[in-house]
Amino acid sequence: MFWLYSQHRANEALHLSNIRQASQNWLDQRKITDLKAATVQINALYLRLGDPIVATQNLEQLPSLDHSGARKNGPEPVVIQDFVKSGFAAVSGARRRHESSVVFELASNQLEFHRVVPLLAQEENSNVFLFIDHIELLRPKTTEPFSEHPTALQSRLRVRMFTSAAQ
Amino acid sequence: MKPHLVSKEVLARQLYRYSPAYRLAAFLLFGFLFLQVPAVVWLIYERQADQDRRTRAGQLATEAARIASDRKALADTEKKLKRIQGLAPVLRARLPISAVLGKIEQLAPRDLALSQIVIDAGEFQPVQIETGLFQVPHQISIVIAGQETAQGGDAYKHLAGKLLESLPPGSKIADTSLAEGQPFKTFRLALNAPTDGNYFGLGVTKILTQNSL
Repeated sequence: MFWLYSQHRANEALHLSNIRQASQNWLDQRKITDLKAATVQINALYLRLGDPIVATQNLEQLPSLDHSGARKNGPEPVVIQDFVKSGFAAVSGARRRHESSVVFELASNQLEFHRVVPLLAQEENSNVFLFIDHIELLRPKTTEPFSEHPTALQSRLRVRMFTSAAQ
Repeated sequence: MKPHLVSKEVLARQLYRYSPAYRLAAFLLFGFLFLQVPAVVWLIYERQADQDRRTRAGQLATEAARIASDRKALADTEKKLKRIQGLAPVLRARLPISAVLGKIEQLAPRDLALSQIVIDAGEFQPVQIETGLFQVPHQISIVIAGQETAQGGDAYKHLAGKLLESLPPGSKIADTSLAEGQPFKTFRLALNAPTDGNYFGLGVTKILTQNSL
């Protein structure tokens, strides 16, 4: 009887072990199915997230997000280059202590509201790590309210971009 | 019947067969044998179950090995997914300022002329991302100032209300003020909005939607 009881307990333990293994297999299989289904999307999103930060991607060794947002072909991040091309003046700002980021102060007196907003949208879409910590859009005092003439705003921005490694 | 016709052996056998001790012994013997039946059935069942479960364990082990092999092929994708998930706190805290400005432009009534828009990020909290730290804002403050025509009425309040509806839940109007003047009244609005990832009211779509890739 004791032997039978031991056999029964061993069987029950094996049964539980099988149930656990089957559940784990099911979860793993589902995860793999989901991963397979989302591979294209994950790769595209990863590329999109990594693109503003690194210039090339090596699939065997994943791109390290350890660059300051600048491509190899320029001293400043592409976003900042775009702002400069659009009429902004850019200077490096003070980075927060122990933070993996680069900070830039931007200013322009040449752009109207309907040009500033699309530019910001374009840059925010192109670099998902672009944070605008401060933005100030001022209508010049020389321009009357409700003026129908194009009005270049006094634009001041402080932008910050995430980089993975502390510099 | 005369007893001398029955042999002693027959008498002894009959006595032995019908005696209570014999019956008790027989009862115990048959009872013991009867009790062995479920034990035998149990034994057969356990052996069968053991065999089935060992077979099943083998199948599961084979399946697990196949899954592990499949998973190895997807290791690169899995690693990328983990890194994307690691960046989630940063992405969630990023309220697109262009969307806020676009919404202000869209909602501003014709009776208002904006002279100043100031947006500041605040309540920074450090988030550990991979090997570095990044300060993510948890709130933005929006200040809008401008002029309103004399016929404008409460147009600036209307703007504040509509903007509040578009901002993430939990946003609030911090200040509204109107200063009389000629020919225009000067207004000032201040709003605070949390950066919690719910920016759909601003017309922002998820970063991983098909169209945004």
